[in-house]
Amino acid sequence: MAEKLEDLNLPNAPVQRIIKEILPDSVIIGKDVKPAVAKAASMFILYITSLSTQIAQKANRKTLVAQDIFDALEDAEFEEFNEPLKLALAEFKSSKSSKKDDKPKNNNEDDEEMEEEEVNEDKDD
Amino acid sequence: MTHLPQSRVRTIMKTADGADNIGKEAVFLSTRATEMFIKLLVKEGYRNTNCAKKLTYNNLVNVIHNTSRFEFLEIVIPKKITVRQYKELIAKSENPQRDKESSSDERSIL
Repeated sequence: MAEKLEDLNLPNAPVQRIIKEILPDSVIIGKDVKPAVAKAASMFILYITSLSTQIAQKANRKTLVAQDIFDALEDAEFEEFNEPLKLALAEFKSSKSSKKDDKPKNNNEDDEEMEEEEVNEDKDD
Repeated sequence: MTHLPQSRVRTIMKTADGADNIGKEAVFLSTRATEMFIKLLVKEGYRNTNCAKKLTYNNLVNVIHNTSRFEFLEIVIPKKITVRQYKELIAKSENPQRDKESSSDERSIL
């Protein structure tokens, strides 16, 4: 549960990393941009969650499932996310079934490198 | 697996009305979708700069206020206004009566 108010914000470091990843290196990021993007991202989570909650309620389900998120994204006009998300979900499922616990162990990761840029550098978090 | 922490995303999701039980897959997908959303917003914002050297808050505002699917962000990412404009707005909302009397033209703004 959210005990402190800042628990409702996304952490700065990964948000900043995603912003930098998408922009050309030479581009300067204005100082109000990062907090605005982080706020927008939190809002996006709430928006998609409320849409999917409504979808689940209509289907008489108490638990939000993957399909609710896909349907919500479509309702919100972000349907282009769904194809890549389906691939990601398939990976997520297979990683779940091969490892019982979802705690990442950093030593045994090199047997199957996930697509593109999934190499995590956790040291600066 | 994800850049953003799924635990935090789950905490935020839980604050939505009626979202008491959230499956692990739904949390994972929301996290990934949020990462894609950040990229999309920043990419569109950068396009708004016409490939300038700097991405500013106003670029984000322009994109958000001109794209229907970003409409839900209009409240959290408002257009910036000057202090004078702000004071005028406050004065108007505090004294709607006086405003009505002083000039009937301004009612069209409200």
